[in-house]
Amino acid sequence: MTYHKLLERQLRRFFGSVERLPPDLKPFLAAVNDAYRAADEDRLLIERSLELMSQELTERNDQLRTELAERRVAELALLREKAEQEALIQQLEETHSQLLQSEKMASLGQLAAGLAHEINSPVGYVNSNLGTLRSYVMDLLKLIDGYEAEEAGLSEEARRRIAAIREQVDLAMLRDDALSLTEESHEGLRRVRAIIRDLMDFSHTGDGQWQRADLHKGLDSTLNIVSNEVKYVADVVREYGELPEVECLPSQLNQVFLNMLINAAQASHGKRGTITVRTGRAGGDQVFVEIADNGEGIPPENLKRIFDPFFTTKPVGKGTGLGLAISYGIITRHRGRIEVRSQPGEGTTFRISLPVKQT
Amino acid sequence: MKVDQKVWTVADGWQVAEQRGAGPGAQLVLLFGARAQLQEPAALQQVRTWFPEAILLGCSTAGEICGTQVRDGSLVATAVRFESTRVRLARTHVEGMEQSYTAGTTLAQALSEPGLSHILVLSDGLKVNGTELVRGLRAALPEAVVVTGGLAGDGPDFQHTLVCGNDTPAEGQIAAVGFYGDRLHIGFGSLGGWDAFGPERLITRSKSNVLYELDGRSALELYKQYLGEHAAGLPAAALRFPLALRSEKEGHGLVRTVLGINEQEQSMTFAGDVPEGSYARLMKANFDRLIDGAAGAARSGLDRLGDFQPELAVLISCVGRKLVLKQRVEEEVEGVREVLGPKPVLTGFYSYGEICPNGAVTQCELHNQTMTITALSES
Repeated sequence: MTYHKLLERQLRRFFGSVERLPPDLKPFLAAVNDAYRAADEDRLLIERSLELMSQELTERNDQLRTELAERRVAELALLREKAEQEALIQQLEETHSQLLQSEKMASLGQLAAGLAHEINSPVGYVNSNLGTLRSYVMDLLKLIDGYEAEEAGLSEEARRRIAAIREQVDLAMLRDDALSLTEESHEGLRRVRAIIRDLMDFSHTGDGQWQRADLHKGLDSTLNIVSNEVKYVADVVREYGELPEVECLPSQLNQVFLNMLINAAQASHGKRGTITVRTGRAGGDQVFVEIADNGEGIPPENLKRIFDPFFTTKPVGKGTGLGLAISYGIITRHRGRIEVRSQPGEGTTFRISLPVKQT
Repeated sequence: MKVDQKVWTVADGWQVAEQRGAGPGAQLVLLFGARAQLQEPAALQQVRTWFPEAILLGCSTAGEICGTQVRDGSLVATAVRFESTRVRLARTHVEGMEQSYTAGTTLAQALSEPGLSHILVLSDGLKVNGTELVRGLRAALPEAVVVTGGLAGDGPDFQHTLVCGNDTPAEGQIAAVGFYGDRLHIGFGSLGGWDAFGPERLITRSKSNVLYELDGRSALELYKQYLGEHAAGLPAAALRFPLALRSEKEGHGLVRTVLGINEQEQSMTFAGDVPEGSYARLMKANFDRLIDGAAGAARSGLDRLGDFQPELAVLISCVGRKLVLKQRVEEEVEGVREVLGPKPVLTGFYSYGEICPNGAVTQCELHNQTMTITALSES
């Protein structure tokens, strides 16, 4: 029998030699030998299992790590996609609100055009009649002067009757008042016609010649016109970029600039402000004009209404509420856009984008 | 209840192990023997002569338990004479695994009779799907009736297993004894003591009790990898690594051992179902816990008996435990003896599967790698 190495060594140490063992000890030693071998086998098996298990677990761990990394990449992609979608949704919302605004403007434009047209003709003949009426009054007064000169030649009776009538009609007051009444009516009519013209402008009914123009020139001349309104309340900073000539209706664009500059000047409310006029290319065949103030800003609840006709926050008599509505109409006619950014307390920026060419 | 116990070996012939007065009037003889010894006609004839009235219920084993000794190549006959308990035998035969469920219901129906309190079943260990057999038995029995028992063994060879029910021991046979009467008290318990190790693996391909793939890999290959040079000793070598099963349906704590392998199909046949979708972990022996497990099973059997002292305990323990415990296997029987005390006669065998309720009384299960104890006492 071959003994387990350890058992053989032990037998040699304690009995001297394996061969000299008593024969009746052999079955016992066989059992001990089996136990030694079995213990070795068990240990080897467990060690092997431990090694394999550790290998397997390492593999699974690596696999999990890879999966985790892949999942992270997927998660990032998802997040990116989500951000893109959010941006898209925001863009959609903006487009939607712009569309709503254009529709509103279009129907208001029609209404205004109809209204202006209807009012225009009666105002026209009232104006013309008023002119005629004034000259009639002048003629009549002249005639009365003539009569008065000839009054001395009349009979006492006749003079008395005329004096009674003169007193009754208060000729002196009539003579003074008649002309000033027609003057005031003229002024009233002038204002009505100005409003009608504004409405026509807003509703695209105005006319003008399309031409290529230098917007900087337009801005500068408009700044000159409003300098009396601006110079006491704000400094003007010009940050002009390089601009090509733009195909436009220059006088209408100047009106837009005028409206914006007057609004900017009025935004300062007591403290001296700064109005910055910025221009430049906006990518593609677009240019922009920005008019920014550092005034009070527009409260968020008003932002959506500022382009509505007759919406104004100015005191009665100071604004008609048509300025921005007209501006909006003009820029739309130029296939451009008006955007407004405003932070209450920090100021407002109007940005006008225009295509260089209309076709 | 009176119990006699005798042991037969070729070398020593019949020896008396316990003589407590069962005598010729014994109604039941439990016979556990190595396949060769069980097939010895003279030995069986002798038992019949001693106990002419008794039902002979027995099977081939992978080791016989006689007192605190674990023997190989012996035949252990334990004769029981009940004072008031009645016993009846039922027997059936299967040709293939697919008949296992029906065999279970057939036996249960044959034994169902007023007063039935317990069934002890012994089944062929290789041709029967133990899980299905138990399911069949359970389906046809009232809730209060408990089933314990085991699957016959064939040493470490896994070739042929025999069951005897009053007749010549034969393959493909299942025999069961029903106990009737209210004075019999039965305690039972089943515990393993194996440690699961390594990763949990999903059973990705299996059919009933045949396993093909774990985590999409050949299960047989996995076993070979872990067994190393021991792979040559398959299927018995696979008993070193039972499988712990976990599934929502079957709960947890089920252990499965290999009964056979098929190289061509790359499959392994287990003693019970290994359902697809369950999770499996390899298990390894932990000697101290195996021995504690046996004692724990005895303790739970004793708890169920309450005030009654067991007079006979049938120990059915798994061949896998014997294969790993080797010369130390008797320590688990000694552990049981320490718990049960000196009074009960101990018999039993090393099996290819154990049948015992797990936890709840009626949830009878097929176990593997456990020590299962059925303790009997008559008041």
